[in-house]
Amino acid sequence: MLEVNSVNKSYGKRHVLDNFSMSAEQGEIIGLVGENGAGKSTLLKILATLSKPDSGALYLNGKPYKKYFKEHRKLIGYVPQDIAVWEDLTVIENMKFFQKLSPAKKSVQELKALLNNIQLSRHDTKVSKLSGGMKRKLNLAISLINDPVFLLLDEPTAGIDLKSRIEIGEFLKTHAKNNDTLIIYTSHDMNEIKEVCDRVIVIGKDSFYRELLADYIK
Amino acid sequence: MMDMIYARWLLIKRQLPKILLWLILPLLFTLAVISVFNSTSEDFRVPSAVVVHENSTEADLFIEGLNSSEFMDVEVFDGENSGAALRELEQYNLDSVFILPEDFEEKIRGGQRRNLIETYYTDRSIYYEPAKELAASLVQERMGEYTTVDYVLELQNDFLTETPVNKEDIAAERKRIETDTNLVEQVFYFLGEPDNGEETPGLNPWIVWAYITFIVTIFTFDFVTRETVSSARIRFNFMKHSYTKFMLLTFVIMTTVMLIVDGITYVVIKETLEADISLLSLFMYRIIINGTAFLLASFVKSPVKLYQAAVALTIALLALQLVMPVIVSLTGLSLISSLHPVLMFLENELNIPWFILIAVLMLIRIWRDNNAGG
Repeated sequence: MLEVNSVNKSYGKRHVLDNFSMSAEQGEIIGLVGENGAGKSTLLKILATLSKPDSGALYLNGKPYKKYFKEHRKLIGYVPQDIAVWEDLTVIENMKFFQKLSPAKKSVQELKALLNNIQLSRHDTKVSKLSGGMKRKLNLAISLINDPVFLLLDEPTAGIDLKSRIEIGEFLKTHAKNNDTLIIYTSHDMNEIKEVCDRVIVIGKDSFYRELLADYIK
Repeated sequence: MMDMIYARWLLIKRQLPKILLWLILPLLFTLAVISVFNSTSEDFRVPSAVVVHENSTEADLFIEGLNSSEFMDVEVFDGENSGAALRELEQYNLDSVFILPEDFEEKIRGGQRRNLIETYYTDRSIYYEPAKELAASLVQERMGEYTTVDYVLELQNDFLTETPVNKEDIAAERKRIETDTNLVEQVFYFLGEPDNGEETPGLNPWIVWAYITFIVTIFTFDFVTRETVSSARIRFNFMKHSYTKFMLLTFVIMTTVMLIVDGITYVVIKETLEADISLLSLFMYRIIINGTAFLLASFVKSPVKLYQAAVALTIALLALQLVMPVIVSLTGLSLISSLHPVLMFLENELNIPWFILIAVLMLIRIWRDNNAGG
């Protein structure tokens, strides 16, 4: 489904991705780990069509990114590291807003069902009054409005409580299984990665995460 | 389209009270400023006094002449109360005091102008000089009339005894000639063009409106800055409508609403303040300031910077308007004033250069956004 061949990306003289390659199939959950600045977020942005690689090729369902990036965007759900919601709107207003602009059509009942699935029930609460965990859930829920077949999450559980973290992890596992969605996400929490992911890819040359990963596999 | 309009409504509805306030503020502010300006102009007359020692026609004409000026408010004291007038002057309640002598009329008729009027003023008498000039001119006018009459009568006696003319006829004829030939009328010029001869207005309400609208429009578009710098913007990459398209629709909606408000403003200002402006020029001005505000709001990184830019630009435009006559006279290029958007609006001209510039910048932005990503 997804194929990444020898992707390179630099910011000035700093090489962030160096001949990075990977492939993934539908229904898989892949964890990306690595130290800060290793290129996890850069890779996610390239996979999400938000950034161009300096060289290399990417394919989604056999179609190259370079030519079909606008078409691919309809298949991709991207959960940015920042909470990308409108703080002044309520939870359901945020869902309605992005639904109206999304390629997919969903009724208000379907939007509420999606929120309930992710255990976010305070539909009429203003986002600015929600806890960090609730905001993270909404951040994820909005990315699912267009029923993506490829979901990218950039540290979706950063800075939230354990209960919300577990709920999000459980939701992602169920979602990938039920919808055959390919999920790639980054995290610094190896326990979370181990719990949720089918496969882990270490980014960067730092050996710390490789050794840590080896310990977990043991 | 309806999806985008609904989405825009969701996003903007909580800011409606603020936006509505911004929309009506230029009209309210203009009405308030003009009202204050007019009442101040009417009230602002320099208090002066005339002490009269005799009740004569000439004294009455002199007082009437001073009162008819736009800047003087004359209080009349009789001769016995001249001390009271001077005390008022000492207490700075009066700007100046003119004391007419007992034989004022006789001296006018006799052409004795030397030491005719005794005048008093203080170190705070800011309008003494123009008041003195006015008094002198009034006396001169009356003396001139008597001199003319005497001269014509003398000529008649010597050469035209068959067609008798009396003093009243001569005075009336002098007055008629003065009126017909507009001896005292001034012709005003503005940027090289003669005025149409109508009464010069005190303060053009459209100047006030143009500047307050300029700054308020930029303030109104602060939501564009908030939305542009918001993390939520990234999601538009995965939507069927791009952020650029969404914001352009917003621009069109906001401009339409503002044009409707401008139409109401036009009617109110025209009817209540009797100040007209070209509707086409008003339309063009709105398009240009909205385009400027929209581009500026998209460009800056925070609402505070937008507000700062709005204030700085407004002050710059105002300063430029004030020094424009100097620039034009120094360079000899009256075309320079065509680059000032407010001046062009006030001169009822279509601001084509700014319109093209704004349109080009908008197109560049659309092109750049459409080619981003991938």
